[in-house]
Amino acid sequence: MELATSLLYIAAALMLGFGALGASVGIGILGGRFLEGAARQPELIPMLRTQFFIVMGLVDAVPMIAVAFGLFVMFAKT
Amino acid sequence: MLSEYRRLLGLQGAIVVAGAIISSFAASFPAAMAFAFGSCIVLASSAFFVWRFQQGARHTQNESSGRDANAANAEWYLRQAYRTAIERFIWVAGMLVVGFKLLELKPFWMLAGFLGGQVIWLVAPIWMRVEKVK
Repeated sequence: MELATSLLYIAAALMLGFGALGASVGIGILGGRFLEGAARQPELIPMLRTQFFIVMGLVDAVPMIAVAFGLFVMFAKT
Repeated sequence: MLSEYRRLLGLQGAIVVAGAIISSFAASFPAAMAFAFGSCIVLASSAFFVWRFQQGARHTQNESSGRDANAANAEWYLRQAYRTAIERFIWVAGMLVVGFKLLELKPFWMLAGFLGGQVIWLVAPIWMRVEKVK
């Protein structure tokens, strides 16, 4: 029983950790590309901003789901 | 573009109402409450996101044009976006903990509500259009 609980906590930690890692890498790359685009063609900044926000929502969505599953495992299953 | 975001918020709102009604019939009233709470977390997070987007649009209108202004704009958007991501993460994690631990809502239904709302974000880029730059 003790081992099962410990494994659940480890699973939750992995989900939260990898979720955060994925989101940070994704948003980092996205931000870098946005700055590159803005530097190349400053007149396109309004369009790039809109695209940036849309993709940021998408990039953020999957790690958020991982966070929800992690917290579900941590609080609801223990 | 804002109308696209309003449509996204409307869809998430529809999921809150429809999901709560369905889960109240399929399971129980506490299940419906948990579902509504889960999807309201996503709805509030999306509303916050849209508000930040609107702030960005207003910032562009206020700024004068020019090379330095463009660079300052890009830097400002990026800073705002990173800030928004962190704030949304804290909001979602905090509210999920509140729902699971403090309010002790039914976990499965709360997770179902959260996923229902979040899935809209995954499919949003399919229909969202970006307006042409004049």
